[in-house]
Amino acid sequence: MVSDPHAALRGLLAGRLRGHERRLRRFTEADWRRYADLLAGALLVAVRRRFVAGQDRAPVIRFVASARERYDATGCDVEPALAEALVWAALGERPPVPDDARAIVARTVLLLGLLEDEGCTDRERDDILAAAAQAADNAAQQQVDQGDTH
Amino acid sequence: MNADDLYTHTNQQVTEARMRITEHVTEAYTGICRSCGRPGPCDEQRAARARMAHYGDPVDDLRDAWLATIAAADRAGAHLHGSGSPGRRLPWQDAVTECWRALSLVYAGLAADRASAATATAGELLVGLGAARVDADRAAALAARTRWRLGAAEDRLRRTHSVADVVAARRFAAAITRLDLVVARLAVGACRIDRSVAGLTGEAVSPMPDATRSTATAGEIARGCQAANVLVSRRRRHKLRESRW
Repeated sequence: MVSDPHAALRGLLAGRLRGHERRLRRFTEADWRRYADLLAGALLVAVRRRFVAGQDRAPVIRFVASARERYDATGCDVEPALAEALVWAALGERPPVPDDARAIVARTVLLLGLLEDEGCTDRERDDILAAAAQAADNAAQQQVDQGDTH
Repeated sequence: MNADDLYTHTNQQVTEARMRITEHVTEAYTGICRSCGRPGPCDEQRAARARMAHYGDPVDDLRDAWLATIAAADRAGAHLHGSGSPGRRLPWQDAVTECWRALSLVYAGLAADRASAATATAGELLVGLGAARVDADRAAALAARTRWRLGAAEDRLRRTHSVADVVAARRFAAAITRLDLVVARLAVGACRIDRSVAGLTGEAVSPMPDATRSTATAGEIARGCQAANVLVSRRRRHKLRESRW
């Protein structure tokens, strides 16, 4: 069974924007959090498919520039330094980036750019989303465990 | 399996898949496959389409890139630096062909890896994957150089303010975008090869960093999503307009 945040993210990645927005309008607070976790998990998986830890900075810079060129027509909606920091954090080379609205925008744009470049099939997209859901579940479980030990 | 075997293997796969798709056509009226008589699309056709998606798309992308560069070069004429006499092959033609070959090798290497249990030894496979990896790196470097030359040519053409040159510059821009796609796919293929090689040699693959839970408030997430949707919609409209052009 696919949850609503999962379906919303799948709709966005598949280019079904109206359905995506309709689903977002029905979100509860828990759904928003789940959606943000899924988005972060999907970016983690997609970044790891394309880049490796310890690699040159140039391909990452070029990718961020190409994603901004495609999605950020005004040049001030996606911060390049923040976007690069998100990629390096996904590779485990930098500490996690603080979460806010700008980070959500950058994550969305980077994820769409990565999947567009890769030319994923529907099945591959579903695989990425399944891996993202697993990563989000693991993170939630870890948080519960840490809460228990404290 | 050496580099040439992998290359031949890819070509065979694409040709075979094309033949299967042509043979196993579903009749519109009855919804039955003409070749095997089962309800269509039959398993054969689905498998062939999956194989085409695996091998065919990158090939088509590269063919498009190649055609775009040729068309642009034809239009650009005398403005191109170092293009030589009209009959001579242009450097980016070779670059795109080389990228095509490298990408085919990468995909063929990965396909051979998946089907490895029955046919090849781990040693042969490692050699094949290693060759594909080296080719991918070389092609990516070549593509980067070619991209630089195309970018310079595009920039020069844009400044001439002649309509024909501006059209040629747009074609160069399309060729650059497609070359970037090829480089991205080479990078993804190379990452997969690394994982396959690590699996075969028993090396530890670097662990996936743990996802962290979002600390943003629901309001912030909603604001971020709304802003992202505006960008995505704008990009969609822009793409639609470009495709009409």
